[in-house]
Amino acid sequence: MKIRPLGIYALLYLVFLYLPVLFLPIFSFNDSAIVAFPLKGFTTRWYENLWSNEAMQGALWNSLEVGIATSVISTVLGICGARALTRYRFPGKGGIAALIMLPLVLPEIIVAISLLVVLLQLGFSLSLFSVILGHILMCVPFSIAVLSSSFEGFERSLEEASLDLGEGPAMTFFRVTLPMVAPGILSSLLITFTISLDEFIVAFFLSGTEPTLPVYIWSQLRFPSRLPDVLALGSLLLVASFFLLSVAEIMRRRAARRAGASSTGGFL
Amino acid sequence: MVAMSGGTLAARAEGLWARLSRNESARGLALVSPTFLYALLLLVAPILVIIAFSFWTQDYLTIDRTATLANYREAWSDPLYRTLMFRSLGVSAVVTAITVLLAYPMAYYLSFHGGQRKALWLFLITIPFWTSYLLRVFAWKIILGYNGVVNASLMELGILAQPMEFLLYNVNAVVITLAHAWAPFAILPIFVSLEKIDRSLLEAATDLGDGPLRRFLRITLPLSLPGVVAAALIVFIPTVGDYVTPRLVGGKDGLMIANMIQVQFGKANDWPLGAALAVSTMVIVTAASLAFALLVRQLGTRFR
Amino acid sequence: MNDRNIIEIDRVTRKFGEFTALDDVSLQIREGEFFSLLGPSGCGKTTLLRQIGGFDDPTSGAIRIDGQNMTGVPANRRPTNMVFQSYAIFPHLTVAQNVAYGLRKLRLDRQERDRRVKEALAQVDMAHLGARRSNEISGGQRQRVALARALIMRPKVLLLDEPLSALDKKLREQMQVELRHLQRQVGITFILVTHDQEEALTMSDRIAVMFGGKIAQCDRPEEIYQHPRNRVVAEFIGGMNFLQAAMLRESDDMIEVDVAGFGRAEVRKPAGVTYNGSTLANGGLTIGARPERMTLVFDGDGGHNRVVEGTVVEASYYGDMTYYSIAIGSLEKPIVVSMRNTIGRRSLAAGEKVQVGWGPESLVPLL
Repeated sequence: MKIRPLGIYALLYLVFLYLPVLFLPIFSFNDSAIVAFPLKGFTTRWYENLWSNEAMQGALWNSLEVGIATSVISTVLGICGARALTRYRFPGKGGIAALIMLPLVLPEIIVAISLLVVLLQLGFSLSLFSVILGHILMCVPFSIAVLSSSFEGFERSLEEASLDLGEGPAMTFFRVTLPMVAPGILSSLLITFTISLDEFIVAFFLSGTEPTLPVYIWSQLRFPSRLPDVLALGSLLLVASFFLLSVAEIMRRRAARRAGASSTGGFL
Repeated sequence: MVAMSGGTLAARAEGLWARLSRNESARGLALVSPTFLYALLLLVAPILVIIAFSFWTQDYLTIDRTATLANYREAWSDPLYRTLMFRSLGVSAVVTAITVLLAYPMAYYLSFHGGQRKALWLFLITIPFWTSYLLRVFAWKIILGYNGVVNASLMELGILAQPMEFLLYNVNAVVITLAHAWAPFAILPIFVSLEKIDRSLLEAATDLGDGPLRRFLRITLPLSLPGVVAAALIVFIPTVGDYVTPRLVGGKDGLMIANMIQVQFGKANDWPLGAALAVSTMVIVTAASLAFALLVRQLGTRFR
Repeated sequence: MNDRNIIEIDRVTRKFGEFTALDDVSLQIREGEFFSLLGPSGCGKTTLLRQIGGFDDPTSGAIRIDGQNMTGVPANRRPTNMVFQSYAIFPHLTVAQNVAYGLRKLRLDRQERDRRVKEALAQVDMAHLGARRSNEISGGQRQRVALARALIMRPKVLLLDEPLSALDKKLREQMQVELRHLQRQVGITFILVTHDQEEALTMSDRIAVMFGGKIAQCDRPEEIYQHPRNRVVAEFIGGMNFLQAAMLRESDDMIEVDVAGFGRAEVRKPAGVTYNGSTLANGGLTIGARPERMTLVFDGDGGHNRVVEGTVVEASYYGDMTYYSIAIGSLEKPIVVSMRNTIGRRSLAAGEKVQVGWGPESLVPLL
């Protein structure tokens, strides 16, 4: 194989993307409470500490609760949106699509404070529920982006063929549409869950007294002695994200292949 | 009688439903409405409230709802806010330039030489962008810290006798961290626009006598400009309002406007002023983005 | 085939916003016939087929299938089945599962269902491929699966939306024969949408030629080819020379015309037309002449009583045939005459003098 200068550049670029993040797991096994080089030796005690850390576990449950609720609701909203936008023509479609996708480019802090103000003005107290509301808003555009790739290749004539062969709209949905897009839906669930799990700003502003994992991590960053624990926790979070996203990608490709589209589309 | 009228009503409703469900526009609108309403209620309405707030005044614990421009006057004239705003814009502009410049060759390589492994490459590039932003920023704190990776390595190599203190807690650290965190965002739009280029156009250019460089400048680059603009905006807009990075690695001199907005909504408890700062940021960012997009389009039409 | 109408299309109009896809179309299709809707893209043929199938509703007018008004009846309740242009083979199911798709509603037991699927697959020569995944079969096989999937439903009418357009030429010609054969065998009414005039001519019992949302002519293939009603139909189906003529005399079913460059002839009048001398007043009428309905006379051939003198301008060689452009003294444009390259016929070179033999049966008056 011929090695091109651009190829080397691409590899270096990947290293640049990944290297910084890899320092988290490296230091998480370092046998020293001070996060600095040189490394002092191998230990798993920071991970062991996590077992007995109730505050952390509370945050973990909060994150799971928020993540599951967010992924389910935003995927349902994403299905409606993606289906409507890929299949139908209707007045105002461009504007509606732009509005729904807006959180993709809006600074997160704007989303966070505007929700904060409205919720407090309406007399709600901050809770995991308010975090979920914010996360759904941010996750729907991603859900739509993922689902679109499986909806877009989906030929309309497949559903027409099902109608033609005697099935009504409901059975057509269950026998044709759903099996075709199921991997896409799964992919959307996993991705939105991961985003919610990792999201900080909105959770920071809206979580009140119930921190999610990233908010908990943030609160620990102030205490240098807690850093190794945070590193262990962060490493686990990275591994979990990586795993979930890999599964999501495999699912998304399967969905795209079923729909007959190319699999290189990526998330955008 | 009652039963009868109920029956006709039901029949009429059914007829209406049948007509609606056969009408394409109505079905599309009905289907998109939950998602649309959600965005309307939880995004548009709150932003409108923020805009309203920016014209009100904080009066200790209550809000004085007389419309006033005082918040904007303060936001635009106070040197502190002005410094923060300019710094935010400057940092974002630099970050945008760096990420787009670094991303273009990568996207180019992916699109033209990605071959069989294109999908894998794309996946590898997108992965970091889904993982925790907080953790990625935190990683840079470790790298650039006083006893961090860079200092330790350089001292180990004998290049440094003392750790450098200027790596962390300044604007440079913010720029480096942001450029890393947003790198994948810039690749994807450029990649997509490069993928859309019909390869026979390039063959035609070669056929008509262009060498590789000329062909790139005359065909590939102009046709991928929309992707470059999209990439620039996707990086620029959110980074102006970034909160985490300046807070974690910026120190005192690296703080940006979002940190000040947070202070107004938090410690300072002056929501209207915070709202005015937020709205100002949105307006300035939008204006800058539009100006940039227009400028690129102008340049694009001039050089052919 | 019998004379009972299985489909009656009664003044159907379909508008998409400002665009009129179907313009007051009326049409009867007989039970058991192979009927084609022929026309260029955008002429409304697919829209009409989708109206019959129930995928779209008329803006006004009605469609009756087997005497039943189909207004408001959705596709899944109509006695029609469709072979889609893209075939619409369900990618997540096997070939056999695709074919069995519509049987669910019949609640057959497993054995009966399998038997029917086998039978349907055998009918299209796919018996051995039932277990294949549907993305593992070729284009021609997909088409067969689509056919089997529709035919297993035993529809009253089978709708085919350009089913052969995705296949290459060889396979297309083979499938034309097979489809025709299959239709004879099952005896179901087939309605074929196509833009390929040859396909329509070879396969159909009757053809409706459509232009701009209207039916221009509906008749047997020979009639459509030999007696196209107007210039648009004539041009769409095969090649034709167009000649100016003056009308001399009109009787009940014949007219006598004087054709520019050729001379006088008595020809059959288009059905249901009375000129009443009107074409005399506004400059005559157009006469069509197919290239193969004239002969070339040279090297002392004889025996034709009607010939005109001409000069060969250009020859286009097609193997079995050669098309000659021939300039005729008084005509502005050369006419095209075809000649079969049978034994004993030599090729003509440009510039050669030649006689064109013709008769009244060469000429068709056009509207």
